[in-house]
Amino acid sequence: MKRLLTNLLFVLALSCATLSAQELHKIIFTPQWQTQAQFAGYYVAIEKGFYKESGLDVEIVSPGMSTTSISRLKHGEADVISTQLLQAMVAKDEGIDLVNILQSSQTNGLVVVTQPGITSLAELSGKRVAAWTSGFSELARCMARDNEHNIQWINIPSGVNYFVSGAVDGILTMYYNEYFQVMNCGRRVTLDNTFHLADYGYNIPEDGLYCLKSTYRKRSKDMNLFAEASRRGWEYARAHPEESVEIVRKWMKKDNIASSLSHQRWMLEKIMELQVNKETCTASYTLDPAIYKFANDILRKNGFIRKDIPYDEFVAPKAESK
Amino acid sequence: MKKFFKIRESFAARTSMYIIIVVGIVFIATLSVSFYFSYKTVESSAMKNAEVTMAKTTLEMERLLSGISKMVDNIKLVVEDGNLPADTVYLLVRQIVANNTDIAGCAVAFEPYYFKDKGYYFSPFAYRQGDSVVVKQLGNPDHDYFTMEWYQIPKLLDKNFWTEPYYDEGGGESIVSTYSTILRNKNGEFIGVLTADISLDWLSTTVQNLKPYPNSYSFAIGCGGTFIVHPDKDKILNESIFSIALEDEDPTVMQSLGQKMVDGESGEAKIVRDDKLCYFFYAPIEQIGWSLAMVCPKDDIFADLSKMSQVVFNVALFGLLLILVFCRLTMQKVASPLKSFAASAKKVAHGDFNVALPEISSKDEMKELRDSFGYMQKELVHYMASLESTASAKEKIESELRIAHNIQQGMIPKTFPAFPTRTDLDIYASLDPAKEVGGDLYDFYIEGDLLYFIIGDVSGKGVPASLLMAVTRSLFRSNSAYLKKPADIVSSISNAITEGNDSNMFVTLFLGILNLKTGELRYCNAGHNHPVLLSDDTVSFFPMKPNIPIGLFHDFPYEDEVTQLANGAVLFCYTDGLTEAESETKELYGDDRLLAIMQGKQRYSSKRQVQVVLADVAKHVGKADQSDDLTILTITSKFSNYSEVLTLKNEMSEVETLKLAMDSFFEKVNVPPEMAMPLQLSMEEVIVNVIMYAYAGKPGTFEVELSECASVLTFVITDSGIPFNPAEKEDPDITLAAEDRQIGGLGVFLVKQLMDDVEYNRRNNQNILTLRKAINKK
Repeated sequence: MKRLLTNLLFVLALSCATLSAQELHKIIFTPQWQTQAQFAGYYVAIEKGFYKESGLDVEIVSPGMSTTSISRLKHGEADVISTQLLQAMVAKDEGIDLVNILQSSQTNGLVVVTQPGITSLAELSGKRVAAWTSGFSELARCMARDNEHNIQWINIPSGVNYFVSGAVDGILTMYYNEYFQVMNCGRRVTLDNTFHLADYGYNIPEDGLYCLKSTYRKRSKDMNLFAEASRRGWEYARAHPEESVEIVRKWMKKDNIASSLSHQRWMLEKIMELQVNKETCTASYTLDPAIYKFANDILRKNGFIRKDIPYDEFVAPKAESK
Repeated sequence: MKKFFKIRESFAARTSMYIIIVVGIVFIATLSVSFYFSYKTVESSAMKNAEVTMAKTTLEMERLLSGISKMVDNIKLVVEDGNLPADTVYLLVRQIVANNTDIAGCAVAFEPYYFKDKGYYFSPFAYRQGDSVVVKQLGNPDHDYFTMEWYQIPKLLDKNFWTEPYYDEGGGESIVSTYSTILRNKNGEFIGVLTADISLDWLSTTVQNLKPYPNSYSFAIGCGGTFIVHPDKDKILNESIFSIALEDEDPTVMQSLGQKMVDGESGEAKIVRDDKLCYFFYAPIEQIGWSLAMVCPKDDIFADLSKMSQVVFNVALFGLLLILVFCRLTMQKVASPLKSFAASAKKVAHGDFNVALPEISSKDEMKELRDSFGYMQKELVHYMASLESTASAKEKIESELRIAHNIQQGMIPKTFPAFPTRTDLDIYASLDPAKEVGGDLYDFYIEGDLLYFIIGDVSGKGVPASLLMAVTRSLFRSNSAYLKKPADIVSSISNAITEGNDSNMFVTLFLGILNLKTGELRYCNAGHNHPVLLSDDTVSFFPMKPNIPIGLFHDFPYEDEVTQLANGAVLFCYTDGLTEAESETKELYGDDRLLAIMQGKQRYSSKRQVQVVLADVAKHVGKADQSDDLTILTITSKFSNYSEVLTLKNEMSEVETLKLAMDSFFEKVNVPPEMAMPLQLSMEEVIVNVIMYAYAGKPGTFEVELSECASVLTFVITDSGIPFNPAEKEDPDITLAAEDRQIGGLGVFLVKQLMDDVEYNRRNNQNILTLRKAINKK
């Protein structure tokens, strides 16, 4: 009799669980690059069940080599994407009606590293600096133009071999990514050869979460829940960096991506640094209107966008209110 | 077996242990030295081996790389010619791949619109796919080869270039490195590159074959330190030597090694990997800027050595054990007779000289020991026999000497007081030979009122001296009987001795004749010590001519001397045994000390004077042996004195008689009244004793002599009663309470306290008690 009751309870519990799973709202999320600690918060939120707790069934789909997260958003292949502020604004200008639902980055992570012997950005005038063909490098190009540094930009796909081989005099790196490789490639570079764009007045925040305005209109609750659960993921990662690195590496292994422990550690550590506003020393996860205006002005001045994009149109109301 | 290890008790165990310790130390030293040199040899040969292996491998690689680069450099001339139709380039690249198995892929990539009809991108590419060669055109908007490292870097550097290895997704799907050679037109302008890909599979195989020890491994890094070959596949193109360094406790070790490697240096270092000390060898592949490293755990390198050491150690240990057992057994065998010897020795010690000795068949030291032992046994028997006879002979001599001693002592007057009835003389002497018999002599006798006395010292000691002493004494007695002058007597003795004195012995003498009535002293000295003269308050040496000892010259003219002694003067004669008595530190007693001790002793009785001096000498000598015969003769002459004799009966009424007699005596000799009373009391005590006990109730008489001489009162009580020596009576313990004391004895105690001197003698069945008291006259 007792056993029967236990079995009955078990069946009941099982059916309840299935029921709640069916009720989860599916969200496909695409970060702007393949799995790495740059997106640790999202993988942590999945692993720790933060999305599920918010009633969301989140699937992370990486963009692959031939496509971008924005393109996936545009084609409806992703509900939410992660991308950089300037690229999101350019995309918006190009007609992809997206909105910012969470601004994780608060500080710009672009760093120019020069060969030994070159100790100021001015010395790079007339010299070659390697920068990615993809659009991440635009801010650096704007800064060079503003300062009349006549830099010869060399388009490269990725990596630091141009720098290692001595083919270029400088290289544009991401603080959390290539900077680590450049500092560990046997070239005798030091902090004298390191120039953070944020220190030169070009502190445009980077990664944030975006969805199409239409999606937001339809599923504002899900979008806000997603943003909130992602934020929890980031906060957890800040509190538990070692565990978070291991979670990321687990996902990298699943995706057949070779991972370097020291590199992923570095990446998470620097991403966390960049999530803190340099002036307020806090992580607000929102887009500051003044900084947004500065970004808008730079893009307009350099002709990347054709007309101003109002802050209210760019930032989702819920995210804005935070 | 237990005894096997009893090191303290067993000679064999102890000796074996010493041998083992020494051999063990030698073993350890030898093994250590041998291990040290082996270690150094292994280490240096490992270094050399690694160096050679690495050099061989890098050379092999260099050869392969330069083979490819040279081949590509040669072929490019065909392309640069400019007459080559665009489509022929496809054939060219196919041909190159097909003909060169080392080449995984080959491309010619041109600048945009080099061939007008081919458009922006034109790059024929051939690559190996299984056994066949596939050809395709590489460039398109999605594969913008102009930014590729193999195209752009040589263009930027303006020189031919080997790329860092990369994963070739478009071609062979493997890790490749590309050699790019620059193509130029006739004007020297850059028109593109000709490339050849090499698969890193061959490099992996070569490097991974670089494994001289079971746990050693090798890896290769690219120009930027990235792993391009590594046993851990995950590290390839993903980690660099610098990034893994960050996981170390001290990253700088690996970082600096990595720096040296990317700088194209070669060398070796010791590092710790996975908690193991490893040797780290590295060498560059110069042509391409890569570097090769080999990590060999130290344990692996020295595995053979440590195995060998273990075996050698075990063998040594076994050898030591073998030596221990062998030594122990051999020693035991060798030493076993010793135990029998020990038992025999014990028996010999107990007197069994004929005990059997163990049989020794060998002819070694043990045999020698046995012979010596046997010899000792024999000698002991002899020795014991001779010892017995010697002992009996010695005993005989000793007994004879004892008799001689008694005879010699019998020759000299030894009974004191010598003349108890004479109140005008107090004489006392002591002779203490250093050996049984001695060469000192003294003698005296009275004839009429003359006291003849002599003191002498024969040269030498022992029996010879004693014989001459006896002769001298006899001559003194016989010659003084008819010669009345001291010098004559001395001369006659001297002449008698000088005759036939072959042994050249001599005698010092002091001979005197004292008139007891007048105090006139005639004397003759023959080289003897000056006596000490005590008179009144002075103590000095008696003045006299020294002369020479007798027995030296016949008819030596000895002369008489005469002096008048004061009443009560003391002549203290002695032999040099007194003044030359040696202390433990060989110091002599000396004249000064003698004079000092005699000071103030004028009124002592002769006996007491001698006792005082002898006690002082004994104190001086301490524990030292007596060095010479010691003789003292002291003479106090009391020629001018007053005396009277009372004869009393043993009746109590006589006490009063005595009292009255004493009063009148005290009057006559001027005894102060305060002294009279205690003297009366003492005398009363003494005579009451005599009256009460001397005759045991029977009637009898006794004499009391009262005399005075030189302010000394002498009372002599003579009775013929039962022997009783009051001087011997022990003093009562006056510290006890009256009721605790024994009854009696107090009277005698009182007498001893009041008198200066109490002397008892028993002679001719008479008790002679002499009491003396010095007085200060009125």
